[in-house]
Amino acid sequence: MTAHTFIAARTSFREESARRRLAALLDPGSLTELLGPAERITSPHLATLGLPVAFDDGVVVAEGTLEGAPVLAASEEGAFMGGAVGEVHGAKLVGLLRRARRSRPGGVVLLLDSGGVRLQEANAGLVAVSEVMRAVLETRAAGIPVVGLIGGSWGCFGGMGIVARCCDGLAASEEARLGLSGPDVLEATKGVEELDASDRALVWRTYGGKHRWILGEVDLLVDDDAAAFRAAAVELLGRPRSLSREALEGEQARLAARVAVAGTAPDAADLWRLAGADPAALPILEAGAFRDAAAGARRLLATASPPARDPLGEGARLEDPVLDALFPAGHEVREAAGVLRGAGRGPAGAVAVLGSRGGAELGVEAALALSAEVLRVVREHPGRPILALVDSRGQRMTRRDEVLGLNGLLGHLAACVEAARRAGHRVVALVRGDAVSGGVLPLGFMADEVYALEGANPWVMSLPAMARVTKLPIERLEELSRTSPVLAPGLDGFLRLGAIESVWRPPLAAALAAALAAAPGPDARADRGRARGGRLLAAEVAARVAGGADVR
Amino acid sequence: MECLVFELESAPAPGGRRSPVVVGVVASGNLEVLVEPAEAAGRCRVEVATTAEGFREIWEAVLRDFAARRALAGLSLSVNDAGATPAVVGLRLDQAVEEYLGGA
Repeated sequence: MTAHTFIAARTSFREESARRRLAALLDPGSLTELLGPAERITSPHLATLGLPVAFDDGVVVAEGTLEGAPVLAASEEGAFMGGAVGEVHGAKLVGLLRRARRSRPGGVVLLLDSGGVRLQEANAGLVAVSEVMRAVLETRAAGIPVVGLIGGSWGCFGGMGIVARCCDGLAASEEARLGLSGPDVLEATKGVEELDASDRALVWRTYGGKHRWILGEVDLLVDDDAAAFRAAAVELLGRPRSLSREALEGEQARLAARVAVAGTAPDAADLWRLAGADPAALPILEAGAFRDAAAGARRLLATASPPARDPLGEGARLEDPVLDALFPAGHEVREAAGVLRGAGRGPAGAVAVLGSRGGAELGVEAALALSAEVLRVVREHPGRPILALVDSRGQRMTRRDEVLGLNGLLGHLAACVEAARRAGHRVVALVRGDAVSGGVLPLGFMADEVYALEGANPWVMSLPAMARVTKLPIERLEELSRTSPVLAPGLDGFLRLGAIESVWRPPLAAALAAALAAAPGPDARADRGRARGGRLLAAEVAARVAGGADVR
Repeated sequence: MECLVFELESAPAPGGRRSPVVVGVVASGNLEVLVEPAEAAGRCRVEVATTAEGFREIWEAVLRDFAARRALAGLSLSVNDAGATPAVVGLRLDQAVEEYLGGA
């Protein structure tokens, strides 16, 4: 029995392994794996923890053809560590996207099946996801479409949920799930009242393909069938989304309208009702009948008028010694619900300031406010540099934020930052407090360069929480984190991983001026991580998959 | 984690050198098997990395049986195991070698 006869008999995407799913997607016999399992590039961090490794670190990256056209493709294995992204896994994706910028195929197809950051290599995973996010957007900006297919058993969560919405388009099956804070995370953090992760109907109407299609988060709702996903990939590659400011303003209006129309819905069923669909009838319909029955609701959300008023309000002028030190000539920065917007007077002209403060968790309103502000700066102040101030304990974790598609709003924010960079805005991030997960990925870690103030605290999870996840004694983790930059929360680890360029010391205005004057270049974080001894594999793995130097 | 290495006597594998093949997934109760051509004449080398410590004798029994049933000499097998039962191990080994030999 060969692989092909096996697949011909069973075409379920959900039930196949990542490798077989990819083989079923591409033209028969066309798949050539890059940096395949025989190379044995496995995770050194899992080995250190005494955990099993996989020869491909849970992702297959390959060249092949799709309906005769050359494509690059990746397929994540949800069954290995929940498809989560570690140093090697992430670097393979980054390398594939870089390869696309060199070889210019018809597109890149990502078969996403991932819980997000691999907690066993927490810091390296977070940085890797941010590098994937930037690489997806850079590849799209270079004119090569990147599309995502979500049909595995795990779904697509955490940082990879944001990455998914950085793509040109997405196809998902009804059984697939997409979101930011997954059901188990929500229940563990906010309690069973927020979301009962064992309630399958609730989980699927919150994260499932049908709800994501109504929201407009997913472009094509397809059957759980390799042929259907294949056709969807071809269709999506043929209609890339523009990253122009005008296109992103259209998306901004659509997302703002969604939150205005459905923002009062605590549950997806309420949202469907608000959009004019029958929540009792929809869950049982097959994909085709569902699309007919729910098309009106999807259209309503896509075409509603955005609200005239800023949902956060204008806020109040912020008195802040750090801003005073950064802008001795003065600043006008306002804070509303922890979100900063405004400008400071730098030595070479005005600098736009935006970001978060006081550890503010980013929910849908904050995400919308920040993306609107980036677009406003690009529209009204061409070329004005942007300073992103980061102090956020992560994304807001509520069922409502998930129902409204927070991952999509944060993906849009990342796309707006990329558009600003492309339009000639220098973007510099300064981590001044906490920097966690969804609070730092779409804005801070999308910057040309990331700096920090002494005392800044980037982290993924605390050591006690990590002890629960990895089932390792906390004493062992404390011992490991003294030598490994991957596990310990805090600034030192992120400096060694290359994610943060340097720590600014007074005078801050001079440090800012020097950072703004530096010329933008390709993402240097992996190379820096190697030079600093914190990430020994990422740069080399990405380069080997890419097959050469980066092209911008 | 425990690493085990076995050198098994077996009949020569049919055909020439082929491209490496990996089957299976490293997930609880499952394993992946990588099959590659090797230089060693008359023998098959098997490297096992397993989460279940203290099962060398069972691995040896399963692998000896496998090497006796199949023609494996000239192949190298590498296993990442996450606590699979002997039955699952046997099935995966067969599947891996069949896929390597091209559906023989």
